[in-house]
Amino acid sequence: MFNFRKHAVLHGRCARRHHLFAGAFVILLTLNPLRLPPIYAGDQPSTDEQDAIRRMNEQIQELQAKVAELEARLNEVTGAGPHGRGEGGAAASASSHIALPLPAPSSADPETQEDNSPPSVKLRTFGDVGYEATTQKGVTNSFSVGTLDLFITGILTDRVSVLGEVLFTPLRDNSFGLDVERLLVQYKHSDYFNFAIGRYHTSIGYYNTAFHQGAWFQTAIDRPFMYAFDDRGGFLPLQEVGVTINGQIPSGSLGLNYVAEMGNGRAHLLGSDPAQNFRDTNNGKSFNFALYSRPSWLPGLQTGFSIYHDHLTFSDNLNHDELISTAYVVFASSNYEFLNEAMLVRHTNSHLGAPGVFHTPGFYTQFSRQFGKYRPYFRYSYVNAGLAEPIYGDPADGPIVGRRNGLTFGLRYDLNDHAAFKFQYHRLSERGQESFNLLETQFSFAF
Amino acid sequence: MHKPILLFILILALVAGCVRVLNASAALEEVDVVVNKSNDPGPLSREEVRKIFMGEKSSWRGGKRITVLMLEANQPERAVILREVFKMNESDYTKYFLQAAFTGRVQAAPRDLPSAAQMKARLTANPTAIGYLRKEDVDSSFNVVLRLP
Repeated sequence: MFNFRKHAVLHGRCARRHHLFAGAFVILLTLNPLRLPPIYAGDQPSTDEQDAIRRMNEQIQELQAKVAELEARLNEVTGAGPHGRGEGGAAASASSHIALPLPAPSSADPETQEDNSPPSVKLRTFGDVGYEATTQKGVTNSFSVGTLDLFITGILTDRVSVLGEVLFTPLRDNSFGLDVERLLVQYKHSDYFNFAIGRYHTSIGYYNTAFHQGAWFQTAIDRPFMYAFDDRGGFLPLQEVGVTINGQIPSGSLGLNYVAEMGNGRAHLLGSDPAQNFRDTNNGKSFNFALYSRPSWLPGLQTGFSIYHDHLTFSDNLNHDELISTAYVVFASSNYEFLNEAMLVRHTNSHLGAPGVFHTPGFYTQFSRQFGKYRPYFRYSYVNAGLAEPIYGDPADGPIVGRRNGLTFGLRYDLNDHAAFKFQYHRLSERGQESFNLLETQFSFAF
Repeated sequence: MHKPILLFILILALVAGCVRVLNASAALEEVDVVVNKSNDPGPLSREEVRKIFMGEKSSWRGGKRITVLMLEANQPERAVILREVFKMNESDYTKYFLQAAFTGRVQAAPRDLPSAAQMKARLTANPTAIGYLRKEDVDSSFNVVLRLP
């Protein structure tokens, strides 16, 4: 056996080594406590205390549940009425299930009881305010109020729900306009078949399905050109009144989904409210079909396409066929966002009714990266409608789309989970007009 | 000569320390995804559980609607579920369900419960519910469909 003392006496010059050696044992014995003071010296009692408190809370709640159960049984015996709702009621039912053989699901189940209760309604609010400064001639620098969005959902049954969205939007004459953006009754039959009727956002491409009016949701301040809303110079039929069905397609890890829509199409004039809310101008209906994949092997990836067709009847009784095709590849995760979409709009017949085919291409790419609460972003948008385009080039039918391309750089700062501040620089070039710069800030919120 | 021994002892001490740290954290993080005893969907993959919790799969094989239960924020079991199933943090989770409701993809976010006791009560009472409990809280009233992590 190793003798420290003898070894030290006989080999004095090795004393330092012995001290080290002995010290190693001391370290071995003490390292864990020393190595782990945050856990075993500091945190352990605290964790124990927290755990004990938590257990006590749970025991209290279990006791409350038992009291509720006893009260419920007492009510049954005395015929005082049905079980109360809420947690007590739920717990009482729970205990009954434990005591008795578990019955088949019935309307007596607490969740189902809640489903049979009056429809639950949730109201959420989105909004934004901001300031913009521009070098565009004839446009002044201004503070502005964005859209105030009241979003309402109501669950009528476990399969039927209602979705409503009302907007208060500032108009060009500085007044506010009221707009029912969406009103949709939805029936969810299964994951493979859902049906809805009302006014909805058309499933054209990706952006219009992922981001709607709430500016807080989207990374940048505004939308890409091709998905601009009609009151901001947009030219695609982004809202429709009609029916929509959607669901998953059994496809394993490919994660295929479909959307099929039939609606009134858009009004004969672009501008004020292109969705035909009450009566269609013709009997032809618009059709849209979209297919997309969300593969399970790469969460965040989505790729798909959509095809939209409509007959447009204008006030001059000229008819035009409209075919809008889009395709996209996007990746959106907690840290990264990489959106890429392209579209091609095809219109037939000239604005004088002469035969012809006109194409309008467009695309955008957007990239952003999250760094803590900061998210810098970049976007490039492009759209090119010809001068002779019968719909997008005729001032009688609405604003001229023309050719537009623009760069956007910006920074988003999330104050918390419900509010964000954005600052962005935008440079826009348009055919026949001088390019200009735009600095924008926006404070957006959701609650 | 003694240097290797010294080194060996130090490594032993470090390994022992690390094992204790890992054991301590593992004990806190073992969570079972469970359903009512009367519901036996069999073991589910993480992907299936992720789809259920994210609202992409909303009914059991027989057609019954799935009720997803979550514990309220700042509970260790929830942190495990967010990390292992959702692969999100609290902010992403909040935004995901806000956006899903806004786009109409889901009717409502999962129901948040204040305690494990409430979770047990709900799971026991509702044959179509799915939730999660710490491993030591799971008893014969439940079917475990997935063990985490």
